[in-house]
Amino acid sequence: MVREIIKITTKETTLNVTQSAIDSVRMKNITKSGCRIYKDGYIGIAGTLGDLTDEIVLQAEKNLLRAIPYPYEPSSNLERIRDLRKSKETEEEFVKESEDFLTIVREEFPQFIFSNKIRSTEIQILIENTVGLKLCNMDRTFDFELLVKHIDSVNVFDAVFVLRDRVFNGNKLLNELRAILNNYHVEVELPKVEKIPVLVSLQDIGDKLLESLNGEMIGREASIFSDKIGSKVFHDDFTLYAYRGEDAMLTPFFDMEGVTIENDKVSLIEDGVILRGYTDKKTASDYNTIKTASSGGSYDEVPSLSGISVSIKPSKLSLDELLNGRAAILVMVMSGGDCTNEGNFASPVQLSFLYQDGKVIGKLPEFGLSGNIYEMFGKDFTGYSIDKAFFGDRVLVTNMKIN
Amino acid sequence: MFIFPQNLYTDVRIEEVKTTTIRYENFLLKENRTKVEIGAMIRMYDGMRWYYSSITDLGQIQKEIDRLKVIATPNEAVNESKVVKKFEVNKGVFLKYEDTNLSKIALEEKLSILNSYLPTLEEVDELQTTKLTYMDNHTIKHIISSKGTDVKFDTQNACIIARYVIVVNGLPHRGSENIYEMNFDDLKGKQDLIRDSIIKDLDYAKNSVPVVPGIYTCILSPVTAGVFAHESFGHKSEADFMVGDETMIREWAIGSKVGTPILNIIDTGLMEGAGYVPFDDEGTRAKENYIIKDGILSGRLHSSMTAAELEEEVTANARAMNFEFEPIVRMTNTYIGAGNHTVEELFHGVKLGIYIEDILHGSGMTTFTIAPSKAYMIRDGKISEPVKVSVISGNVMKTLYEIDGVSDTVRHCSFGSGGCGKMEQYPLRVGFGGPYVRVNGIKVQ
Repeated sequence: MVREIIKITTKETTLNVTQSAIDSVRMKNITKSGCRIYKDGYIGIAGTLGDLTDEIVLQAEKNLLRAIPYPYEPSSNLERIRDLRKSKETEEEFVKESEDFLTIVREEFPQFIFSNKIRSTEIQILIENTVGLKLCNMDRTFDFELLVKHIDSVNVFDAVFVLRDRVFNGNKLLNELRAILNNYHVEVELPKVEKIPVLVSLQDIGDKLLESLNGEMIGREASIFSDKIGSKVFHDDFTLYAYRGEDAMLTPFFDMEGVTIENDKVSLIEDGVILRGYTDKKTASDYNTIKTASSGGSYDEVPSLSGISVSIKPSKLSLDELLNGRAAILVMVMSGGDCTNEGNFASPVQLSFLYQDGKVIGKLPEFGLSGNIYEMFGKDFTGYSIDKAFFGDRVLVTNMKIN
Repeated sequence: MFIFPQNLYTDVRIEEVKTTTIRYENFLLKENRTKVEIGAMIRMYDGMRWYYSSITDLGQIQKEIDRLKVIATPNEAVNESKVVKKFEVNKGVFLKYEDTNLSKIALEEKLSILNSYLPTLEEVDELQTTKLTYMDNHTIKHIISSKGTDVKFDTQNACIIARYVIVVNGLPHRGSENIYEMNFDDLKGKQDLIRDSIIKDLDYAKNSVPVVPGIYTCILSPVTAGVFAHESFGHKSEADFMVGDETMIREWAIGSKVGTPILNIIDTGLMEGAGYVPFDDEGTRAKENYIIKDGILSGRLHSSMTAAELEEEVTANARAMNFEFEPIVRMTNTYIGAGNHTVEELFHGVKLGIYIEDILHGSGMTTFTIAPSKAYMIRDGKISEPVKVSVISGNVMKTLYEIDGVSDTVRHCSFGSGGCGKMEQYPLRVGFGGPYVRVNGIKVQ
């Protein structure tokens, strides 16, 4: 019998912003503890809010009677602690810095109303068991999640600005606000071309790609990639990792089964070739493939294939080098799009700007974008900028069709 | 119960949530879990700023109140502030589900009912992957405030959710069916619902063809109409988006014409279903709120704070995802009211259009979007071949005027998983509903 504990501690201070000022402060200090018992190919789990108690351990043992199969070896004989925290800022200092940031925002952008959240989050996650596993990840981030609305607008909000960093980086966000909002009133026409480079995030256009890389779906021939493993279907420069490295903030280097991967990353797609889907222990075992540390679930759930954290391999070029002087569309708000079963993607673009030669030129009208998954990451894929050009992150550049 | 500090408003919301989740994946038992989560959200208001704290040790509530007291600034006039004046004071115990409490039903019975649905998923060979889940939730909330509220109430729901992937010609098609009830026994014997959905999805996967993109008249099914109402106008009626914003207050003045005269949109927590909340998370008693009546903007959704700021009445729409969050303005059960056409009459009037039967998701800003999971051409008034559609969209304010027919019967829909997302608080259970709705000028891609 192997006993394993999971302990997740979250300390969070969240400032609610209304009318460009803080109107509330929320503090959270919550521990969630789970216990897993592995015995004879079965798993018993119990959990509680707060610290683990003997009662929960006993409950986990009793829950073995629920006969949930788990014929996989618990992770073992590995100890690693990774502390990625960079800031020791106190709650009071965080509130003060946020107030100072918002004072500048009110002064510089009186035509706009800012709302929503600024947050400090510190998470420690620990998995430890009786066969020598002890993995602990500590991280702290400062998140700006600001909705911006022009004072004359009748929209609920017009733009969203997000920035996550391990230090309070109000200046970086202020620079982006200046670059974009100072051009908000400059209205420009949509370029009259069929396709144009768009600057997006993987989250904007990558749902179908990630869904189709699910190892269980590939193995059961329920993915559009099932017959494409080993085939080159994407651009030579497109490499996608299952990724748990330091760049992925608030993401532990291990998954919820305690699985780690070498150098914290493993290729799913390499140089355009689909190598494998992402897996948990079950999927890796069922389909005889490698583990990619992609098991998810909460502290008191049976871990399952849901914990995918991915990253595109950055290009060697910066955003402006990738564009090489071409005009591009910087997508700010693209909401509500989806893909057909074949991978045809379409979405309205609610807010975007024309971008060229390192500058935001002006605001574009609402329009629609479309593309096919094999083209957006294939012949139309331009690169993933090495520089974190917008919102504290690298930018995905691909050509898409304007509708 | 608690010693509330002088010259500050304080309330405490204690939640006890008991849940069960049993899940088969590809006919193997993957989860069989019961759990109890207990926590509390403490709020304090000094007339200028709110202070919140969420904790899991109920024995520490008084200590946490005392800690917040140190941070807040006492204000002798706080009880005269317009926000505090808006708080309803309700007292009493309203445990509607005491006799049918889902948490008291044996786990074996829950497993047994789920097992009774497994054979239905084995009937069709083309199902490449399956997930079958039983979920239930019984929640007791107790809200106590320094103004005198002391109200305890419960809500519950149980559901069976079937999800599957059908593969035809190498292309996966995702399908699902959801049986959502307030009481356990009502889950029994509804295998035909899942069977019918699988058969329909199989036909769709085999026969659907790419749609010719363009502008169409669309007929929205009740669930699609409900999501349309939620996304297109429901979010715009949440008053926290208007506080302090003169443009919004002017633009969304009560009494403004916002749509066709046959359009009514209602939100209410009174109705049993996913949006059932007899009291909101500030202890305000649920009401029926018309957002749009006969095409005229007739109300909006409020917390006590927004009602005070806009000098309107509370509507019981202050809701939190769980004890870790403060209540913000959210919808409950939102639906389009009935019209006076039969469903046949609605279809009869469409020479070439598209029927949106079911959806994957929707969104709504200036432009609303709906991603259909099943859509069909309408030809000469009749439902014709299934078509693959990525997304339908339209300008919200124009589209509300483009509705030219509403059927005479409303169907309400609740989903056991997922829900509404608003910023950090996702998912929150909400109900949707409506009649069949005919709307012109929809962009289909």
